Amino acid sequence: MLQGSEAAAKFIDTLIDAKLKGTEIDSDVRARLHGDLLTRLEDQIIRAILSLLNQQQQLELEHLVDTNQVSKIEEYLINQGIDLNRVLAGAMVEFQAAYLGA
Amino acid sequence: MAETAPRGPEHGSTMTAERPTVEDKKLRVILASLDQNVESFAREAAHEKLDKKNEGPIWKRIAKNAWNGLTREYQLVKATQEARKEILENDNLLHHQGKSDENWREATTMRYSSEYGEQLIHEGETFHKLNSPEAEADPNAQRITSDIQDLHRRAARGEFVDDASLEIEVDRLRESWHDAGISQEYVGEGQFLANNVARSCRELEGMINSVEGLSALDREALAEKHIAEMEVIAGEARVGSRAEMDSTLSEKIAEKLRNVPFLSEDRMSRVASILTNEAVVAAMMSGAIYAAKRGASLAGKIIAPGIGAGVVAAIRQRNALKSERALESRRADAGKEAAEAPDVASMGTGRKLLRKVGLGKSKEEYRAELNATEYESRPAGELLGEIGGLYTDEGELNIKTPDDLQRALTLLGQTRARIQIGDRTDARLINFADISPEEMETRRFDLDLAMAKLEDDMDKLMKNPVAQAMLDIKPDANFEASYDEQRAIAEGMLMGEMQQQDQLFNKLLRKRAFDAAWKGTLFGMGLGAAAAAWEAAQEAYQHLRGSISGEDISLSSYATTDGGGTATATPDHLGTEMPDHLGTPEPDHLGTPSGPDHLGTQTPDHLGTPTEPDHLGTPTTPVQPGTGTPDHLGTQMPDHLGTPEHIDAGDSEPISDTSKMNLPEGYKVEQGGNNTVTITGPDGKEYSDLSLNPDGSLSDNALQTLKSHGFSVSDHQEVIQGKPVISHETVSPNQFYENHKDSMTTIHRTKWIDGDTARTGLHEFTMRNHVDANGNVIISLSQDGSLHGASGVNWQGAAQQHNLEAYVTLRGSQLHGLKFEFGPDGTATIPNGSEARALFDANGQMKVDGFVEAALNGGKAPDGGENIAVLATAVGNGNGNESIQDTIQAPTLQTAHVYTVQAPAHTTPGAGLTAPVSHPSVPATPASHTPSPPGVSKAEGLADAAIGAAATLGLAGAATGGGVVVNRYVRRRAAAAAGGTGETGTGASDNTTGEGTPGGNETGDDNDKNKADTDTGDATGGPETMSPEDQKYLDELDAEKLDTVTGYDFAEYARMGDRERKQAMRFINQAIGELGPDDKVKVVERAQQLAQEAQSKATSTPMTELFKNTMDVLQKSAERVERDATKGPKANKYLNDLDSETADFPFMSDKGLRFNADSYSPEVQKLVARIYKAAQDEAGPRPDVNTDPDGYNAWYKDVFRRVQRIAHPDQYPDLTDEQKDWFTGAQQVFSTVRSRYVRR
Repeated sequence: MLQGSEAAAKFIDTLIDAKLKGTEIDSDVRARLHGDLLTRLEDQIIRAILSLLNQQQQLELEHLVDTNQVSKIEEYLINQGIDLNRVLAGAMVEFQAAYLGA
Repeated sequence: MAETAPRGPEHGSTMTAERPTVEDKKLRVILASLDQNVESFAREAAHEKLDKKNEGPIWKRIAKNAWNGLTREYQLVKATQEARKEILENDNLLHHQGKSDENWREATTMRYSSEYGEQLIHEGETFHKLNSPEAEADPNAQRITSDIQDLHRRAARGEFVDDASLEIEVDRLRESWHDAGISQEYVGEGQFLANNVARSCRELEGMINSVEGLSALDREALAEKHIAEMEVIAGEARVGSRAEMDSTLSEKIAEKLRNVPFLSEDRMSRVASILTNEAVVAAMMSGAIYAAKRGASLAGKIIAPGIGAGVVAAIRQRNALKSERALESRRADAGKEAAEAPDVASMGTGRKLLRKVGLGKSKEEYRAELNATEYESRPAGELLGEIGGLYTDEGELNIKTPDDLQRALTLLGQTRARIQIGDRTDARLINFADISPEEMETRRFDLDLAMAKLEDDMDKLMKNPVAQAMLDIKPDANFEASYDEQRAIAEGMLMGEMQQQDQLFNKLLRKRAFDAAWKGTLFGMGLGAAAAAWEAAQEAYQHLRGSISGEDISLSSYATTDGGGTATATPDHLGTEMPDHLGTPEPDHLGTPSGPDHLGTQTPDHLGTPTEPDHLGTPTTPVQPGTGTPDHLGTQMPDHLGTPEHIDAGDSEPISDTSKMNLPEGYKVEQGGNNTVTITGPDGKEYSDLSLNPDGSLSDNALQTLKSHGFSVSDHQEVIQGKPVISHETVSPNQFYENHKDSMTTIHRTKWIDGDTARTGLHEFTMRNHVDANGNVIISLSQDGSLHGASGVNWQGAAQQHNLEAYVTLRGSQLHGLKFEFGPDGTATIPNGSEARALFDANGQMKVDGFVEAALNGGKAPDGGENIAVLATAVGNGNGNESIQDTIQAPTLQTAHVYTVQAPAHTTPGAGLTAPVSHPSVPATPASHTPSPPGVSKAEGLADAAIGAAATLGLAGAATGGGVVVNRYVRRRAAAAAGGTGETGTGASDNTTGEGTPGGNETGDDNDKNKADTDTGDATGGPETMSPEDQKYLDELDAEKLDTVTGYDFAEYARMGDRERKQAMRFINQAIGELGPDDKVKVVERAQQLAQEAQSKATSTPMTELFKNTMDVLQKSAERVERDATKGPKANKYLNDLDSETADFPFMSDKGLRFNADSYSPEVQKLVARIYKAAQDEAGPRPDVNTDPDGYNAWYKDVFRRVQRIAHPDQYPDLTDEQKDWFTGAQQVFSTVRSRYVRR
């Protein structure tokens, strides 16, 4: 979900840089670490979103995915009363806090 | 055409040494009984039942609780018996949780079949190698082994067409072992048997089929060789944590969402950018992590891996129950000493006695008891140390032996499993007790970094040819698969341990509940005792409320702690705090069913109790339809979706099949002719000819008319089931199954009473079919001869109770069938025109290769299917190649509208209806410029600072949407700070939450908005005005009748919007006009081209969306015609083309494909390559294994599912025998590869 997102990649990069504080690590290791953290952030965001949907809404969301209507998912979530920006920011802040002790 | 590779003994003789990874692999069959778990699950279900909260006046609750404290043991025994019975009847340990235990069975099989299976056995489990010298002397072990071996022989001979047939055989064996009394020693009753027999049989088939050119004798010899070496392992297992092992609906959807980029980059960028602002972060932290911080204020420091994950993961947690245990974990991480048990021995007799009844214990003691129930966690420092131990001082990976390699993989697997389970469940499996709280985040990162380095180094190591040779790494082994296996094993073990601790924890809770019950009894004797009970009861309440609650409490607690609240949050009906207004304990922990329930656990009369008179009881809450576990999961059309009649619209009036309207008092609406409605005001004024769209919604003109008269209209939309689309096609039996599997019932045949078995030896039931005057097929069940009742089956009684049914199944898919009920007269009717009727001829006989079974219904199986006992079976007359004239009813989705109309203010002041339901088509109400109200709280003040910062950056919308604590107040302030039109990218959020401040500036522009604008959402940055031409185009499209063109329509269309389907038809008709109707492939290609061109020329979002979605429809159509085109003679042409191809595709090395195909003829190899490529193309891009290992694995599973379909020769009916052989060979290759390399 975040694999192609430059913003998400940059966010994770910032986080790694803050932890490394200039220490250089092998690029392959960094790539793997980056991938791991990105996946976990992604997981956290998805869980945050799903936790706000009831079962019927989850099934409707699944329907959109299954019928390849990915472009409508954002709109669908908003129509269900979910403030995506808020959820997204909340998940990212929490993730950041876990690593940086914000 | 190239020659097929010669077959014969000379090739068969190569079957031994050259293929070590195939032929040296030893089959390992697992039979692991889960029977011993039944009792514990039944007890737990009984406790949960009895621990339900009482309601009613306090004095009644006290009376009931006092009574139930005394009779609890009796009630518990009875409830346990009931629960046990239900578990057995449903063949599902998780029956009372409404979930399937399939995952546990799978995990158990994996654990037992591991190379280290014997070492992975937990306390209370058994592990027997039935081929061991000791067991071989035991005739019971011999019988089981012999039966399993025989099953494998039959599988090797190809007697089982699919896994379902194999599983049926395993069920028969299980029953026969049970009946013969030989299973007890090894697999208990064998009622719950986790096994891999079907998989093992398939592996054996693959092993044999992987050797090309074997004669029948050679094949048999090879099979015997493998069977002789096969290990049969039996045992009794305990299963893992019930809360975490299941793949819930959320998990399933989460998995799907991971693979789709549904969040726009623009949104990500905006959110990420505001997170660089410390004030914003601080404001958000105050809300998002408020609950955690509050915990930290007690415990000193937060420990959760993702702090918010604790809140989010609470969905699946009994959160309140575990909070104290989690707090103890935090205490440990914060360096606080764990409580220790007091020295009871030194206490006086009186104090000991008080302690016996739960009095006199200190909080420290309670804490000590809780500490003993914590999950086993490992210090992060220790794990880091072990990882470091794998490296030399110079930083080189120091793995010299296969044992080193295994140790490293195990460490990686265990650590990753701990991290993942922690992320998923908030369980504390890695702790930071060995370091100071201040260093925790650093240590967490160090561990992640070390893991990344070790993973990278191990990956490189396992690819290194020298290391492969030195470390005995098999050529087909790879790091990811080995790592995944170790992680799965570790996860299974950890879950098992967690379950044991959970059981301890539950035991503790029950003990406390019992203590509290005593206190309640004392209360009945005197108020003084009740006062003493208060404190402990309060504590027990906190635990028990969590323990008895399901997932709702977590959802609600999220909404509470989140501070935001959403339109969907479940009301916090369970609460999170002890109600302080009562001043007395909330004794729900005393455990009494609040009313009669389905288990019938009534207080027995002979105990002479007055405790359950109706007037004391809590009103029984009726079960709402559809509130239980949904049975529609996995079907294409969710059952829960309403129909137009089900639209919940209060006192609204219908204006069409799909739409309703809420009107102000005094107004009424009537449906007129020509698809119009008329609204009449209280003064008699009419607003007539308000036209409707073809879908029953108000047209834009009607909306504009109302607006022009001063009405405001909001539109609440719901997705509902539409009328099904019916089509007719000639299909194969396989396709028939595919078309109707969603309406079929999953069947589990638990008994055969019609078979020639040793147990019954009866054939007393027969079925006869005929067709009545209406064309219905009538199935009549009767009993022959004088055997009435000999089998003990009272089928007439079953029929009267609606438990006698007929199942119509097709060979190859016997696990799924169409179900019909027998009436008391012993007849079942298959209605003329029904989908099953197509399977019967004019005489009512089944004309295809399938079965009609009369069966007793034994209740629901764990997967939602039916457990049945078969009384009689009739076999169809076909051979599997029949053509069936199929009637397909494809479900559709429609949008239902509920309009809320507010009267013009001057007409009926204050006559507006309830607060208008927000709708995206209504623009955001401009935010008020009101300055901060007085009395702003500290949190709000902080939020103000954040918003100010965001506003400075011009990010009012971002700040508005970004703050977790920033709710209504903050949104208002943010908009004001930004200069506030509210028309930022997040404006739609305000819309949907209905938080817009009063004073909305509804300009005339709003009237121009149309339905299509609705679809743009906020992603497009706000409403968009279409050109009149575009609007006209869409209006015409809406007004157009939906038509289909033969051969292009199919079920998937129905899932698309009407507009898109109509548009697709327009393009197809245009293409037919250009190219003629003959070449459908070209027609669809042309239609796709037209859609592409149209999209590129579209100038408004609705039009762009229309053509884009139309392309999706056409893509489905293209797949359909392509599938049709590859049937028949064209299939032969397709195969003839193989001559010009080479099989040397790069992906042939994937998953051992080349290795397994090498021994087949060139045609088979090419076919394998072609099919595999086609499947890959269908499946889309493969996710990167490093960044998305789960997606990577899922992708392979998907490819092999597709391969099975494409490689099926039934898809190509005109194949020659030789060509069929090619397909068979290809199937064998894929079967082998799938069984060996693709994890289920």
